[in-house]
Amino acid sequence: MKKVYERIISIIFVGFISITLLFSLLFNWHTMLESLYENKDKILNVRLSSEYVKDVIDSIDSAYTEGVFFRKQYIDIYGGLQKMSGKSIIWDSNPNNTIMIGSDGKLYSSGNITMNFADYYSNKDILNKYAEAVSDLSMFTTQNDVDLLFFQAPARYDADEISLPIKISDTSKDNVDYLYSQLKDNTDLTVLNSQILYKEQDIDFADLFFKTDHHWNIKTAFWAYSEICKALNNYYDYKIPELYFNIDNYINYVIPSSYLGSLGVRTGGLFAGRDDFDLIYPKFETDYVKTICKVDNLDISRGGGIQYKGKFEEVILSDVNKLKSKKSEIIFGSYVSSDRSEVIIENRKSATDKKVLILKDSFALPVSAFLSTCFAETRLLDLRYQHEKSVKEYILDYAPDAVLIIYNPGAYSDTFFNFDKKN
Amino acid sequence: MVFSSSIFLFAFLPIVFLFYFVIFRKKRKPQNIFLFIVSIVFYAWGEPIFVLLMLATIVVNWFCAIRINKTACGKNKLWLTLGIVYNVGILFVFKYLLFVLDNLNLIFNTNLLIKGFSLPIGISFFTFQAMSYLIDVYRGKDLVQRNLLYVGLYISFFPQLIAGPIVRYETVADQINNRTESYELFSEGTARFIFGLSKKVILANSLAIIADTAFGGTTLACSMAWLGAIAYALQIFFDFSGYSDMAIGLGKMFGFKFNENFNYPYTARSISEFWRRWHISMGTWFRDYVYFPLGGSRVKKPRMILNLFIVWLLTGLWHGANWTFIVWGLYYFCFIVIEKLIGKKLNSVPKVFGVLYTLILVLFGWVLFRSDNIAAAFTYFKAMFSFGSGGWDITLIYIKENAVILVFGVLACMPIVTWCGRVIKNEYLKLSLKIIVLIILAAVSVVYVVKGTYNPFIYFNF
Repeated sequence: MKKVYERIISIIFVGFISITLLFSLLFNWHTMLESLYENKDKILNVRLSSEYVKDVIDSIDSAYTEGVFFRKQYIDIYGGLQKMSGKSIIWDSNPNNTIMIGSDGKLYSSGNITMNFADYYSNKDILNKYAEAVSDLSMFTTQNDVDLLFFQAPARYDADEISLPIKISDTSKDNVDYLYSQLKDNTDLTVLNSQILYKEQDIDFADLFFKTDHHWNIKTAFWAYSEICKALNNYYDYKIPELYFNIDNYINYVIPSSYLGSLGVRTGGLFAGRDDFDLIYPKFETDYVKTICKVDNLDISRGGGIQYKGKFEEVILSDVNKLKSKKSEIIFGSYVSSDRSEVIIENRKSATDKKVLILKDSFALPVSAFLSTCFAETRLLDLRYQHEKSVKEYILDYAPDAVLIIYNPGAYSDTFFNFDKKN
Repeated sequence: MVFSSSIFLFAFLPIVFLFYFVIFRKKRKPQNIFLFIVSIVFYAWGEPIFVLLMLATIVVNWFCAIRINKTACGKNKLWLTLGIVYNVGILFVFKYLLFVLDNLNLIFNTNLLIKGFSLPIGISFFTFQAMSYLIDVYRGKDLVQRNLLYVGLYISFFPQLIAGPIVRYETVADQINNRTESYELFSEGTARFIFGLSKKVILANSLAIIADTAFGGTTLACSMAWLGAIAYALQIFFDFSGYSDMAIGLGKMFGFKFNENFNYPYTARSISEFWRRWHISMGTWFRDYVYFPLGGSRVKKPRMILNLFIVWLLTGLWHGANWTFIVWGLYYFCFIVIEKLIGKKLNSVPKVFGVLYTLILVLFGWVLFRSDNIAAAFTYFKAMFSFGSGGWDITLIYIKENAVILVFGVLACMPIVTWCGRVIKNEYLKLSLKIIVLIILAAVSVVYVVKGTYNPFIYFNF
């Protein structure tokens, strides 16, 4: 018996670690390569220093960790174990990534709420600076006969509505209202504050966001889209037919318990469950050409420079059939694309012949997808990435009919509000 | 590279096994050369530059040992001195120089500056191993190793390289060439490694969150201060003993038998007993290479007290260049002296009181040890005794969130496995249970490792 025991223990241990190595290399090599590619700047910047060697080693280390076979399943089990042991907080090696379950059953992160821009929070001088930047852009667009609309996505954490196991310092809700008041009082700009709008329309705050993701859900994004259409019609007389922003003219295919958002992937699906994901696409006929521009090398590696042609549900929501059959992984960027420096969407069957430029963060992706049904051309610029022109130069060259700024409060940073700088 | 990482578990280790047990099977010399090379890679993974210092240390100590042994009539004290000066020298430069300069600047109001060195991982461990080798050779134990690679393997062998135990050359001298690998040893090693890994990733890392919160806080309630101190006491035990278990386990897999480093220290009935159970390899090192040469206890009382003072001052300093470590070492000096003076009267105290007395003193010791500076330690002590300061709501959250870990942590400080072994007489049942427990612990540990949880290693800094 003792000999059997000895062999069992040895064989299981060696077999398990060897098979994991083999399967990780066989099946997840692409994940490792992608991870290495994300650190390519560090790796290719060859220099004679210990920091460089450490950077390379760290990159290999994290690439291998990312590529460990069954990694997602392990993380799921981790979340399940934490739940079993009665935990409502999942701590992380990076304190900003600590995740907890709120009283509303949704996941919250100490870091996600402040989005790495914690220094900017509660600082009215900085918010005033952003208000001035938008005001300056507003004057510029007015001079150039371009309409400008600022749509503010709501803060996900509302201390009046949600209690968390540990207190966090998050003033994003107040910041939204403060920036809104500054823009409203000091500019002629059309500003839509979703925090006011959803209350006016008696929309339940609990329904706005995903449980496992820091983003709003797709239904809320559609609601935001319809509010923007209404505002463009009311304030700028765009004449977008109502059928384009009436949800009854869209198919809503719900994939239940299928989506694990940015917070959920850190806790695993067994901790707080998964979200339902809405595949919303037009019943009416569509015909698109989508181009992901190759502004930087990262874009090229992720399909930049390639044109995609087809219907909304083939190109803009890519690709509905694969998503339904779970052949493609559902991500928030299933709408349009994941965040890229520049995306150009041409719509050959649009509601209007107008051209629109959207200054976006990730929240804007599904909204932009729906907006693209209305306009002959929709361009998305993400100021976090490399651009050859400043926003103002881009506007002068492109001459859009309208510029839409769609930001969530996590985007309150210099990067998103510098409209004069080339990256 | 750390043991509790995916790249170690699922890349480094299986590749090492493949070469060691398959490709170089039963070829001792290639196996040893291979182990030396992978040990250097293991160290370079975390310290790509300081690996050169490690290699230099190997060469210097190999050379010095040969010179020490060379003289026909007696050993060569000069080369012993040179070797020790080298080892203490690099330890001083990398670990203590900045601390000394800072204090000189403070005392003499000067501005002596030096570019800060980062601390090479595990420097205190490998320099102490190297010194024990030189001293043992000098003392006439016929141990000198002429093969540079074998000296290199002894100093840099990856299981015990960066956080001990401090292996004495005499322990492994014969094993380098004449060890025997077997299923029995391998499975013992595997079991030990899994226990160590689970101590580290399941218990120590979870407890670290409470401890770091408490010790990192600006304002601290009494309850949270006590919880933080208890959590740190458990964390440091599971962190360090877990690493030692992994090291001993890995050693066994390759046929090496290292000495034990921990023996349920939190069940000790006195401070003296605690130190016979805690970090045994360091305690015996100081005993054999410092305390005994100074005369040990076989001298007059004042001299014995001086000897103890020196040993505990060095013990404190060994842990780091900070006044907190020095005071921590001297704190233990005081209690060890008191216990020596009281003598065996302490044994007449009921066991439970002895254990409580030891635990409380050790707990205060850990507060000193964990604090960033003396002032912070006193602030922490103040918080521990600011009864009625409230803050229970936060403390209860941490207790509730970590209740399972705290319970298992307390249980794992006691020799539960030994007790179970005594209760369960049936060998089949015993082995079956052991397999089940090991599989569960391994599975949960792997989940924690792959998830990449909070993963600080305390003893890497020493």
